[in-house]
Amino acid sequence: MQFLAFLGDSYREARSGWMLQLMLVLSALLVLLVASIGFRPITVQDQLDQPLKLMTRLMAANPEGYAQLGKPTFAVENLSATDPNTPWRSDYAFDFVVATPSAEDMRKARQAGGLPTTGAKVREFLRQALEDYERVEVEDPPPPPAAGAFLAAGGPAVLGGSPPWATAEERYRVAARGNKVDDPLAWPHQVSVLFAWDVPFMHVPTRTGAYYIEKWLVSEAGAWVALLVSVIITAGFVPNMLAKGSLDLLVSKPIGRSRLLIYKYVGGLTFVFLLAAFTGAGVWLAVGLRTGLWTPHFLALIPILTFYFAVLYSVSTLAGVLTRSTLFAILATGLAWGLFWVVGKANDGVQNLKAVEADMRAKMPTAPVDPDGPMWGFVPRWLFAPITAVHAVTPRTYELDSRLGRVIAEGVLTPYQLGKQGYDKPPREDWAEMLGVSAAFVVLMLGLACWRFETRDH
Amino acid sequence: MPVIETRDLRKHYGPVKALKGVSIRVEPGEIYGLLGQNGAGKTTLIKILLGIVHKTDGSADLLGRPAGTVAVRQQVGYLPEDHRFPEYHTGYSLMDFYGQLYGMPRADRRRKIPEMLEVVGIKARMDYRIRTYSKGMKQRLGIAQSLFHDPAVVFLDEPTDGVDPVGRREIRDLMQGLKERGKTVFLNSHLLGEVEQVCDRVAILQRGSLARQGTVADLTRQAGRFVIGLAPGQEFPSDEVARLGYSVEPVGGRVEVTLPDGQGIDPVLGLLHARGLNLRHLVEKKQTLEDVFVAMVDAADPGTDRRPGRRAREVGAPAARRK
Repeated sequence: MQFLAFLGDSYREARSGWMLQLMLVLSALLVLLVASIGFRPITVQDQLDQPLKLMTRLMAANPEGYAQLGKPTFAVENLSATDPNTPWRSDYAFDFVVATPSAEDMRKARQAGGLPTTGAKVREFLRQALEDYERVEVEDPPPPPAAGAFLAAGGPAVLGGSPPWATAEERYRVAARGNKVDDPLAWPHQVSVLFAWDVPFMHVPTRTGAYYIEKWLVSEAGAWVALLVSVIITAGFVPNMLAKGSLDLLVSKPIGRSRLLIYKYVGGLTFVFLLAAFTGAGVWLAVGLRTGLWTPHFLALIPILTFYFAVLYSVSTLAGVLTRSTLFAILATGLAWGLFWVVGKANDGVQNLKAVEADMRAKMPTAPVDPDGPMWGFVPRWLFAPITAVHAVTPRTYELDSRLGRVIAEGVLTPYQLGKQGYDKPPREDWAEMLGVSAAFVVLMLGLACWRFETRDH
Repeated sequence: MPVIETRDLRKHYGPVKALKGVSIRVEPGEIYGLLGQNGAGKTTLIKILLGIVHKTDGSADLLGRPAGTVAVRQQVGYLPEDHRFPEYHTGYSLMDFYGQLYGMPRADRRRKIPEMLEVVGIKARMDYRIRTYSKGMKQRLGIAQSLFHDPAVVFLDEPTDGVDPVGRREIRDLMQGLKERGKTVFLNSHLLGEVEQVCDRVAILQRGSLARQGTVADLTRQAGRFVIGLAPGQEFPSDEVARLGYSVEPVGGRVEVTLPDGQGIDPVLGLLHARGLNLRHLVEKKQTLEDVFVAMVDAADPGTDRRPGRRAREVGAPAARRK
């Protein structure tokens, strides 16, 4: 009953400053924003037209420079699909058309370089644009009849690749075969927001879109804001309880001091849990309804975010008990948060560097590896051992964050897409170690806070 | 079995000795008053009894068990001085919160909270946030929260602080009601008149030590001073009484007779009778508790209220130069 009493009290305290309501409103807006994001499948023509139009628009923005480039325009024409009903399984054939006002302009366009105006550049451009296909075959435009003698003498090889002739329009025949996309949700879609507005040039597979929403919009940006606000709101819980005039009322009640402090701590955690549950469940529902992706992985956000906050709040609680100052509790928590991130990032860098160097030595034993080279250009190697040692006893908030990203990715991405996001190798972090070290830190912080609270005269 | 018993209780805050061996004993059903200047150790004593502050030495028992344990606090009510309720609560929700801490069932809380708030006169405002309460209302709420779980002993630290005269009377009546129900009240108040009116026994703390303890009557009695009045038209034989060794001072139409050491008032009464004088007024003179307290404080070294090294400047005297 006492535990429930403190939960209710913490809820009232959080609600009293309107911050809880504000956070819930912000969460609701976030859920609404996510729900407003739609995905509409596009054709290969759409997929290619958009970057080509963008390229043309950017060049035309500088008329003088555009004229020097020969005013080229690009288009996809005569598209045909082997299986129009399941476009993600289909092979495609189309004409890639490069046009200039005159043959002379075409020569200028070829000489400018960087533009898909020669056979080699067109191949490079299309292989990048159609990276999800096993094979992209590009057939050069047929030569004009007058080129017969030149071709008989050795062809473009004689002149280093570009034919000596030019026409105002050159038509490359393209065939894309062997789509690596596994299902319709991995096929590129036009993204729209606010239920109607198509975001220009935003073509991503629905799965990737869901990953971006869940990982970057919610578990990174949204969670960071939520954690920051939660740290500020809850930092006052313990100092307010310890304030002169408040503490006597509570300590004189039939409840042990340590229990009182732990209940207060759990009350703060509950606040964040409710917020994470509301936001996490809301976003999960919105993403599921809009995309049909109902895998539960994203819901891991709720316990992981709460656990992440438990680490920060234990620092806040200890600082509150030691100083009875809300401001100091906020500053101490912010400092610890930053420190955990720096240690995690540095350790990640050290482990990555060691792995890369080991890989290089394995593949190329004679590879030139600098044994004294600093990490990132400024972290000397003698710091690696201290970084690893400090990391061993530091809460793993950095790893929790990156592991949550992987969990989310595994929920929505196909194996092929996981590889593209860099999740094709097994994770370095171990759940038991991450949770164990972090939980031990929480226990230590709370133990110190309880000891101080028990022994201090108020 | 005493409700409260301390033996040689000591508390040191570093070099500061807040309590220097205080021994008190409070019996069930008493209203016990604790007096003393600011910094005399009153609040420290209460806080030790409630487990808010840890004692340095000695013993303190409450309801027959070591003071400050969770089990003992279950039977104790406490109104601290300068209390600060969480202002996000309403009067009702605060009482409900505290009731849950005492383990009171929901049905009991629902029934008792309005009853208790009615007793202290703020039932009509029980659903308003505490931040809207006046100081007097907060004080009444404080008294309500200290009583509504039906404790065996109640500690009230300045219970009438901020309360209007009518409210003070109500609080005094409340304390009397508790006494009649066999509850023990431990009262800490600077309002000595109030203490005099309601307390059965009083202790005076002076700089961490127990200076005096006893019933209010004991403390206020002025042994050996009587006021005597005779029937109209009769003259008091002052010279003859003075020859018996008594000192006589006229006070209005009466006289005040001070007994010499070891003597009673009977020889004076015998003389009046022998002279055929008719006695109309005979009262042993008393002083107020405030008189007793102030006299004690004046007799002792300067109290902790006075800052060392600074003395009051007489009117018209030049200000001391700063060094």
